Amino acid sequence: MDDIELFKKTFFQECADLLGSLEAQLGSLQSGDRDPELVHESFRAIHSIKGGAGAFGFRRLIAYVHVMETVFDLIRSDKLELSDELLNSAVRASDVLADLVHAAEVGQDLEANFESAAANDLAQAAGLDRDQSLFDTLASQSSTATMSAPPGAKRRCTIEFQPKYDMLRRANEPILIVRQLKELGDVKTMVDTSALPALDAIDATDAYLAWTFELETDAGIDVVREAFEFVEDDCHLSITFEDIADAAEPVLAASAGGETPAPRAISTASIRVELERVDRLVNLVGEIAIGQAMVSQQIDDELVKTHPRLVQELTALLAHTHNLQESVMAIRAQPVKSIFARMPRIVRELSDQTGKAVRIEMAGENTEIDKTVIEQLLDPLTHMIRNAVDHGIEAPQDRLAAGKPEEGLIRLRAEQRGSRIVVEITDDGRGIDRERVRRKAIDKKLIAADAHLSDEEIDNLIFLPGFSTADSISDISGRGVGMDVVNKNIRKLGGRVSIRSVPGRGSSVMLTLPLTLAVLDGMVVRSGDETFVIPLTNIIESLLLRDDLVNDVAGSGKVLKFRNEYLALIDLKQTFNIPAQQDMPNELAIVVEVEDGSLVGLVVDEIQGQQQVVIKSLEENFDVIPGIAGATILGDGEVALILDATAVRELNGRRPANSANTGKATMENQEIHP
Amino acid sequence: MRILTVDDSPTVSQMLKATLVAAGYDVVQAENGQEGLKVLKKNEVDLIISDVNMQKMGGFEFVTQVREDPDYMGLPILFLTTEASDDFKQIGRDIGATGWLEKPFDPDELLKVVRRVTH
Repeated sequence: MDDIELFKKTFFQECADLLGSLEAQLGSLQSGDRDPELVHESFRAIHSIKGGAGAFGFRRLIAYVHVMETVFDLIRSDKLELSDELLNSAVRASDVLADLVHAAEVGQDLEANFESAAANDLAQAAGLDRDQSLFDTLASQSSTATMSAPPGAKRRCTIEFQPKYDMLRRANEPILIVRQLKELGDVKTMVDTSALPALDAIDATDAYLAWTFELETDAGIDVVREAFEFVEDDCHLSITFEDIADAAEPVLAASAGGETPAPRAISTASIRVELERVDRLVNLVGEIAIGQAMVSQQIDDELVKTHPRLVQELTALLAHTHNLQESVMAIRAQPVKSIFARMPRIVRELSDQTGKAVRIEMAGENTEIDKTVIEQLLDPLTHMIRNAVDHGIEAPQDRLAAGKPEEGLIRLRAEQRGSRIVVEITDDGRGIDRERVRRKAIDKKLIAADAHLSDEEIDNLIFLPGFSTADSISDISGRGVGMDVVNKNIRKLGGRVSIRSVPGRGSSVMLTLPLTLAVLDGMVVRSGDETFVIPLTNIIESLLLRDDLVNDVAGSGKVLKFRNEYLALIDLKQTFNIPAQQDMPNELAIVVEVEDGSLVGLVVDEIQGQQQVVIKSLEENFDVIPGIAGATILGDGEVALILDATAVRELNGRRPANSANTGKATMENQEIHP
Repeated sequence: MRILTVDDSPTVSQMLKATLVAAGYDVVQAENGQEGLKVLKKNEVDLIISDVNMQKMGGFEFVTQVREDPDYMGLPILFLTTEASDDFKQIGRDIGATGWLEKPFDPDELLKVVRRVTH
């Protein structure tokens, strides 16, 4: 029997007692005894039945009891006289109540109007009009209405809050309110200490401080106001909202600085600037970098000889531009702390829900990443933490049986490695059940039944689209959203996901992310007279396209032999209808990894070099082009398109149906030999 | 953290206990205000959740007595009630209640409010 059933049983036992009591009180009243305590007792019984009915959502019962409760509340507060007629109606009503309770207990469906007559009769006898009885409306309402804010854009909410003396007397503490506001978004806290008397004059129970909170939140005013629900009458409170984009002037403010708010007058350590302004700056600096690159391309030996000083200054300028670009990017950077900080709570709630004891340890919270990356990291990270608790960490008894500490441990760590950020989520749980993963992948036709895969390859199968490890959709790990979605989201950010697992010892998921989304390291290639940029993170290898490496497969086009595997070969000229040029006989293949982890060979004419490019949105400046992720301006002023390899493959309809990491399984089954 | 619940309904008491214990709180319970005062003397508690309508000693009387003791000045107290009317809230405030919860309670809502008023 689960908890709810147990509670229901208790409830119905209690109802039996309460109905018995109600009957006895009403009986005494009918016999002429008008002791007010009899009315109070009746009210209490009705009231308790309503409370329990509400807890279990017996709506019909609630609606009905509400009428009885209203009537008895009026009687007990002497607003209504208990006439014989009213009493008789009440007795009949209590009989019907007993029937309703019984029906709820055994799950019986009573006919639609079963209780209407008794309810209306009672309401009429009590002189309530139809509206007041609320009977019909209540019956259709949900029993527990909770406040929810319409989702919307982040707005800046300014809250002025000045507690009165009484607030503290009722054990409402400002620090708890600050804590609650912090859950709604970034809070800047300013405190006005001007009313603070000298130390010896301070009454510890009095309130002297006034606060101003600046909250950036997508929550509505109802939700913000909720934080002040218990203190609204014990303070001066003003809450105002403004759209962040409308705040033209940057606001000087003290930084939030942990639990101790800094007074407004002292600190101006940080300055708030709209994101839009920063983006404009990032863009402009990007333009400068491009202009710089164009100028640099003009430097040749001739110029070095004739204008050595100019070249020297230009070189210095190049270094400054590079530094400027990095500094501007750093403005957008934020410590991962802002999302890491949410994880302990998630772990706590999950361990409550699952009954597993889990602890989380975090390191590298001050590692900084671009704000956009951080925002898009929250969901995947939350999902992986949920996965770790839900599927990774075992139940306490299983852990003890396996000789592990009862409490599971999840480690969350971030660090910068070169121009990438690595975020690692490690748990000491049961690890990946490789046999189960394998079976599942075969069931879902993601791999062939006889495919030979290494342990690592099996572990990484969970990232394939359509794969979900939970046999039944778990409430906790998030309804069907599996690691494939995590993988997809991280890849969209230009990152990679990988997993390592030791059965019985735990798993470790590693996310590698770019520091920023505004620039990327790319390989510049040429196809016909078009120039493309392929993100370096996607590139596995580039090779000369020798005849012996290429095969024609009927129905599948050309394939490339690569490390003893066969990859789909896609010619960019065909994909984008680029006329061929005669003077380039030696074609090259760039082997790239696409979103689902499989490899594809892209045929190009020439590799022109490797460089950092500033990403410009095509969508904003032109239109969406299938297969193209964005555009950039190269040093020579030419616009180059940034390839989206996954989309390019889809354009070609070359989606290997059952390849795991590579085309291996497909080709082996077809037994094709060069 | 230990929480004292005071309610004369076994259903409500049982659900309160299950919800709070599952969330990691220690729970001590009483059936009415009189018993609540006794339990309070024997146990150090961090929060009181009390019903209003109870036999023997109701919630208002109980909370009034608790607040009279300076030892319990900073102790958060929540009323659990089906009648969170403005009148009720005013009385609750006057006698020193920290906040209120509406019955029937939603477990998540209960825990949210508990976290809101405790450290």
